[in-house]
Amino acid sequence: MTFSWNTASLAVDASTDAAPGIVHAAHEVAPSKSVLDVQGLTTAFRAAGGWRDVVKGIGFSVGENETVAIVGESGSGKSVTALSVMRLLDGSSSRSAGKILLQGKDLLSLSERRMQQIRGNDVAMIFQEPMSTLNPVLSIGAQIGEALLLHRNLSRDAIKAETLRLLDRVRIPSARQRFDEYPHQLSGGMRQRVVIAMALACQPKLLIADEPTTALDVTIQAEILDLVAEVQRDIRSSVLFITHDMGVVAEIADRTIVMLDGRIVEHGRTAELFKAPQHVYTRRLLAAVPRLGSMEGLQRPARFPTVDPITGALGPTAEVVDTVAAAHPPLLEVRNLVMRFRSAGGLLTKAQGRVHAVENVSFIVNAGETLALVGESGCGKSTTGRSIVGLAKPNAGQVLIEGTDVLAGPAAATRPLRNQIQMIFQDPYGSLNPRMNVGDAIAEPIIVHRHARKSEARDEAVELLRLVGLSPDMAARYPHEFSGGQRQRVCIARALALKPRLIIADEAVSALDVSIKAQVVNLLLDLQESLKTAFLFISHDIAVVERVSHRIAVMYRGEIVEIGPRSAVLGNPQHPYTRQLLAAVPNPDPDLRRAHSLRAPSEPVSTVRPLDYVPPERAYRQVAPDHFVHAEPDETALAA
Amino acid sequence: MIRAARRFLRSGPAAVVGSVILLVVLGAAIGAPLLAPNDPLDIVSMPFVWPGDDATVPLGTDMLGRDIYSGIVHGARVSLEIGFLAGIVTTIVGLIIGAAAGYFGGWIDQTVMRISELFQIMPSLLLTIAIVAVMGSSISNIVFGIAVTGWPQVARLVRAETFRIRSGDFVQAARVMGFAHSRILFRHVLPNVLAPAVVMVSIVAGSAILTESALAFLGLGNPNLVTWGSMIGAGREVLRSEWYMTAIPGAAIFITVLGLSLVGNGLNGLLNPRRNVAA
Repeated sequence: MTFSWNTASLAVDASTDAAPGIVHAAHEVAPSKSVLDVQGLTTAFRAAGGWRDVVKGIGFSVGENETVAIVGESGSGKSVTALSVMRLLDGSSSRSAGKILLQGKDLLSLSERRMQQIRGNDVAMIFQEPMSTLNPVLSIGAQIGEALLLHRNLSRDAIKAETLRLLDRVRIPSARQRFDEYPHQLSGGMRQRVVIAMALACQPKLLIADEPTTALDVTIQAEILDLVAEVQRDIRSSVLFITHDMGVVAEIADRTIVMLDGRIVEHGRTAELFKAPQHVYTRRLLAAVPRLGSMEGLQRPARFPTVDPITGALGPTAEVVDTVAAAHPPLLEVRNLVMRFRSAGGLLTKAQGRVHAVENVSFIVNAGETLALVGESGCGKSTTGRSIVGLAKPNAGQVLIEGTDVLAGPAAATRPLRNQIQMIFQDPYGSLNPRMNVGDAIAEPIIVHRHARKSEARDEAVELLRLVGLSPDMAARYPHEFSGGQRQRVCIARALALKPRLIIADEAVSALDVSIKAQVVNLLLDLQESLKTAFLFISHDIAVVERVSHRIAVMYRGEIVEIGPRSAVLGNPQHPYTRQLLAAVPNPDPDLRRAHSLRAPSEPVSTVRPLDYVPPERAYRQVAPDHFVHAEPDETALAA
Repeated sequence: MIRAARRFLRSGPAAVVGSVILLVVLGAAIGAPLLAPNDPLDIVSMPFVWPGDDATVPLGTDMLGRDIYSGIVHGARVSLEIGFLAGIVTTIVGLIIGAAAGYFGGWIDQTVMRISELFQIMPSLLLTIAIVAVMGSSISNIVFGIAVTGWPQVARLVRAETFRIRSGDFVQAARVMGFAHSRILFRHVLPNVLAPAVVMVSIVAGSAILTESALAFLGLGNPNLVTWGSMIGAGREVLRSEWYMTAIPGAAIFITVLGLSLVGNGLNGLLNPRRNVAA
């Protein structure tokens, strides 16, 4: 069977800046036998005044034992495609037309009752958020058993045995004890393993995975990807993998489908598609993907290359001019910051332990410099940022801005110094007041702190909007009228209103689509160049960090385990944790695919310690000038 | 403003029906002296005239020969007055207390919530009856009685909303910028909890009308005022034979409260910013 292209999918929307001459790029022909064959699928949602097409006549197939990835940015229709195949969309507000053939059966023509037998049995699905996929009041054994009970006629004992086998299969350690545990007792990675076990319960012919690793840390993501690949080989099923992450695609997919605005713009063998992308959108997407190691040889941060919108040709990678100005005292110095919370203590129960969220953290940031704070969720990087701006009150330590400790003394006295440091948050949708127009929001801090008149502040707000690449007439608009990337620009403009010398960017580009992410990163670098702003760039995304930072600090269990110049930390990592972190980053290059290893899953290490825990004295070993690493790796250190 | 009104009316038939009902009741209340020149306390005809039997008293008369139509029209004044006063007073009190509890948290929150529980565990109608019985049955006392028992539910709603908003990034951003608590509370938090609070006005107003009716039915209303509740109370004794005497004011209460509830639903849709995005 060959690819069946609906005519609608051939016509590329004129607005999507298609390169002349390049309409569709088909790199190869699909394998002979397909498990899933989608033909002319159009899915529409009910919108104000009629139906709005979200998926516009797409066709593709998934062959036996094949992994096909659908990649696209938010709003491209990739998840809707997956839900259409499962027929999980609400029938009253959506409709699908076309053909969805699963082993020859057209799913769109089946009754809901027949469809229920197919779901779970022939097609299974893994969702993004494992906590909400699992029922919090049922033990994981019961939930996997339920899937078996519904679809396979087994006795009680057989179900239990089969459930244990499945838990072993997804490499959950000590399955017998885990059987009776509840979802909240498991880590995110373990939960996703349970979800995969449930999906495997009936050995489906097709496994649909919708962003299954997006909510997970990068080391856990690598393990789950390995598991999916292994399991697929094992039960000989096909996988339809929905993702926004080109790195993940390169890691796992045999074939790749690129979606834009409800249409397929390019499809082909993953290796060929990455090597010679035909469609301009694919090129733009690939250019915007941060690649770890792409900065070798460059000393300073560098912008993402621009892509010519007509030809799709890559522009040069523009290195930022030298902005770092080391001085004494430095712009920001954090000394021995300690932050602990009591954990698990209620009104009548005694606290069992303490969370050592931040433990003895010290670093400096020079004017015009970007220090990146990297680490996985729960490592204390955000808490560090929040204590610097006063959102969290540290138990001990000093935060010195230009040599003055802003934690000591009255807040009013240190306010002018504190205004030197502003913050940008992760969620561009949550960090603007929905009921205040953007011009007022930017003008507000100017009025409050610099006592400007309202009209002056408004003029300045308009100027700031221009600075971040938005048009001045947008000042009268409300946040919901902006896209995610535009909102983040507004947040940056607002943070700049007080003319800060340091901006703390807490995962500021993590929630943005790849191409938007590249644009916002470039904006930050432009601002650093023109305003000499320093950044404390808090992120889990090491590939982006590599591009923006002068220096990197790696955090693990609340401590900085390694700190140094970017090229030293990434090029010559010393701490085992840094090495593990770097090894887990998916590389958006199918030729450099990691060997899928069958590692035992790692449990995230907890920062909860007994009440009588005394943190050990730490010493740093100097590796090179400015490059320091924990002298003695942690006692629970990874056996890397 | 006009665009908002248009969107409100387009938001569905329910909201339109609700606003038409409220406008009719409001018109009756304002134009009562013109629409029903008879004093509802005057004897204008024979007692027990059934509706439709006598064109001069279209809805009939009660056991004393008083005009039921006049009673309904004039009663609308009292009902609406109490409904809206109680709705607004209760909501404002609940809004301030709930926002303070939610924003500051900690012991302030604990104290306020324990006090609100104290009011919530008491049967609210009995408490209102007690207040009115002790303080007298003027409209302001009735409103006070309703507000005292009604504020906890508003405060709880507002507190929960405030909690959600306080942890939102834009409030954190305001704190990073060093804004004072008062500015954050009034400029950033309150405008965002106003929507559910406005909806609460209509809900509280509906239940206030019911409470007033219950008080009047029990004879605790102002004896110099004819209200829907007192009319039902009067008709109770002849419910088996002259059921229209209770049914007509009962229907008036039912329709008005329904109108309020429909408008509340419509406002909820209108003020929900997420729906605005879609619209």
